[in-house]
Amino acid sequence: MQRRSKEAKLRDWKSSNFRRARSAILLAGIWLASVAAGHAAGLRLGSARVEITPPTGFPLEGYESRKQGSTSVHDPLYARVVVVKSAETSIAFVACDLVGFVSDPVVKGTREKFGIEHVLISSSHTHGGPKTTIWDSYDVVSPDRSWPTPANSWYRATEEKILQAIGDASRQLEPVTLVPTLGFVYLGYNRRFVDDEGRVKMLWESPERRPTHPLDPRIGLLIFKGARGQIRAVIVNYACHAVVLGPDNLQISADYPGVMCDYVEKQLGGHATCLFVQGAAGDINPYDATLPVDKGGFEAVQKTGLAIGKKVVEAVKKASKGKSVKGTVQARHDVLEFPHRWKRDRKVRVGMDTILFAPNLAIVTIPGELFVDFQLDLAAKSEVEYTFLFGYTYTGDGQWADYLPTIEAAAQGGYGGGYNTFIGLGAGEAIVDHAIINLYQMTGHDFRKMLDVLVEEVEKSH
Amino acid sequence: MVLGVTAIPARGAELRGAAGLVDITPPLGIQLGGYEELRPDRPAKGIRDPLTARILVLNDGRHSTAYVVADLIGTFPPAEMDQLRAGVKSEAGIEWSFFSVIHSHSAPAMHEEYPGGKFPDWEQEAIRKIVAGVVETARRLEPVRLGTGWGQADIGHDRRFVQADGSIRMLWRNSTRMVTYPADTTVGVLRVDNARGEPLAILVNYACHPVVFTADNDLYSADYPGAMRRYVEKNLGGSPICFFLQGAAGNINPYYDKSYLEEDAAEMMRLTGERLGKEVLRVVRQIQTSAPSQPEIACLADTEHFKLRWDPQDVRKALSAVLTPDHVEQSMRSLGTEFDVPIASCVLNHEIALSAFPGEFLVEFQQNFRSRSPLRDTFFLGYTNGYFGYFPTIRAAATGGYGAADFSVRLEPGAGERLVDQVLIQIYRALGKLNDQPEVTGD
Repeated sequence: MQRRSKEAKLRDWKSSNFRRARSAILLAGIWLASVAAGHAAGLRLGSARVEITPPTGFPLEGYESRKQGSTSVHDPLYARVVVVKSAETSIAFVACDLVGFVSDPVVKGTREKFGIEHVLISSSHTHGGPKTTIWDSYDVVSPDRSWPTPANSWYRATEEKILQAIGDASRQLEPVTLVPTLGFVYLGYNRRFVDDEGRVKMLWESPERRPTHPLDPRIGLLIFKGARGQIRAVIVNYACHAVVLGPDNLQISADYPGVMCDYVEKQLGGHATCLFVQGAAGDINPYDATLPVDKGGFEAVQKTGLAIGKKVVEAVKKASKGKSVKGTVQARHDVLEFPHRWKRDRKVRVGMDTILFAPNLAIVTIPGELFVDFQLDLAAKSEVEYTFLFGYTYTGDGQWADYLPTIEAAAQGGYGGGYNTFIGLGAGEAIVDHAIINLYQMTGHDFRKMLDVLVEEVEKSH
Repeated sequence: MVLGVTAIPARGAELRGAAGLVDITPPLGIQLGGYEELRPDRPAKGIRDPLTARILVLNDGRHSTAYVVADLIGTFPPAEMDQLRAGVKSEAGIEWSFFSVIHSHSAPAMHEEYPGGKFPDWEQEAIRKIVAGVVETARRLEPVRLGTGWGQADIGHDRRFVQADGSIRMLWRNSTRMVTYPADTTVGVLRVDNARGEPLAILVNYACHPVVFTADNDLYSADYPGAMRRYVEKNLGGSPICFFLQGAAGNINPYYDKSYLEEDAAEMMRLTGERLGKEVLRVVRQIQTSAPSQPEIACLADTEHFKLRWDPQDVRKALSAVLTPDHVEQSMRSLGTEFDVPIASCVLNHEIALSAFPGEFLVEFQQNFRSRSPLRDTFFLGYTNGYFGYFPTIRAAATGGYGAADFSVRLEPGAGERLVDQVLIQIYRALGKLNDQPEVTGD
């Protein structure tokens, strides 16, 4: 529709200035390209690993029905750290063997003490780890710094250990190249079974492995290689709840991601650090889910961890000559505000990071449990070749957002859809759209610039 | 959010309806709109076909709604829209009114602001006629039967042609019918019959700009939608009133775009309209209407807040180069920097959704909306209840072209995506599937 004459006049004006404007755009493009070339080869990386296993006898988190404290440690819990610096920015990737971990002291301390601009604290979402959260009646989650005692808090000690590990990693940076790639594995199923009436029946386990959808079998991989080609670090992004162990389990465990990381680190020669970053696993369970310990729970943990671990190692080896990122690194931290779904007087603030390793790798983070549709949608809408969604990842300035269902899933109901969720309807959709806008901007699209291509076409057609 | 839902339909309730039509053709001499850049001075010199407003009123015993579709290029300015809604409410007692336009470019030019705040006489006269028409139609309510059907018609193309390097070339006209993507050939039909099964109203939802005529035409016309309606009405014995509900036509042009009179634009317009009309007729004839078992009109309306996409300083600078300072100030005021955009949905009998989108949405939104709607019968009413410019997808906004990255767009990127999300929420709410309290569960 061309209803106002002022538009017409503007177009005439644009037409006379069109060619001049186009040369200006071209010049700007060249200038940007030269900046990019100057900074292309500048990635440096440091890594660290610190044990964060809690003392036994205190509550575990993940199953409300489980009230007893832990009895022993089956496998130790770690926080693994990769610090990446480029000429433009710096990022600390932190992967914790925890159900969820929100920490402003870590974010703030990392920024202030080490000058690292972006901190991504990811949790594997293991249900075999300690209690980390306190929920108030408005669904604001605060860190549980109360045990063993408030004065001698495991949480606080963990925050200090993580900060120290980030410091250690940032002091031993080495040049690296980064190769993004994909692996594939079917580890889990969609636990929301929608019947013919459109109602949801929660499928908490699926030993018979019946087909469900949607699912995302992609393993997103960031492979960091040292100067001599040795693997320095691998970040593994996959969407599947770490709930092979069920509520009967009282032994501290990292569940399948722990097995996966140990296996990958060993297979890659012992100098590599493997970080597991959970994807949009809000509706995805492993096939062997909540398996009682006396029915082979830990064997299933081993089996599941190795199943993905082998695929990761395979993909890493295959990608050894893969296309590395070449351009600049850009990272953007946003705080989005949404209405509370149930309490109209409240808002939910969510911190999200959008990171682009130009030209072919993008990462979007969210501190909550997104349904898997969003990760598929993000990848489909993004024009960046590899676009990964880091769920369960806190980057500061907001709160834990818990479950983010699609609008459709919210209407169908079920766990994380009709209950156990509090963020306003449509938040997940808005987050994906926001990330896509960010990525377009980071790849050089200025939405505020009126493009003049049209003028020429109007001239031609008449 | 405003909500009007009959929680429990009254026992023995029935759906009643009536259709009406008023002639709102303005006097001759009024400037025609849509092609100002081709021919700034284009006063109407005659009437090719009268401009009408078509009215459907439905009532479920508790709630009533009026759908008005006018043969105009755009909706009225906000103050007149309020006037229209208030008139329909106070004089006909109808709480929910939807006002759509077919977007004809052979209809009077319309503006959002008029010097001194004085609206043109013809607009005020049209509003009076429409309100009177709704009142008259609402007096004739009778029990109705509804039915829907879907078909395919190929009369238009995507005018934003994506070239090999990803850039956009505007393909205004496509008389060789080169295949373009995306275009939506879907024809949605809602048929309203009286109790004897005789059609009273045929509502046709399709997305394509009515721009077969171009700037050399100076006769009032409803363009191809008018030809489609005449064809359908004639072949159904002349008794029903046929409505054209323009869809998300933001990037869809007819193959015979902007045809000159000397190349027989009138014939191309007729061919285009009848091609669509034939499919409508085929669909109408196979629709079996029935009296709804659960008559219910459930409507919701919300507004969503957005910011201006452009830097006002840039806009001011651009305008200053071509307009007088007074005009710049007037344009800046009418442009605005913050927008409250209205969206509304009505779900009829738990089965049929009609949703109002106030502007020119790219067709991708209509496809996305229909594919995500829980109801098979989901109608996308573009150009309805207000006008906020073009709504490009985020991708289109980044890649450019008319209606995507120029002054025809006003709102920030992502606005269209958010509106579709929020309209889907309205539909689920109207169906009672999204409540204000968490589900109670035994899990």
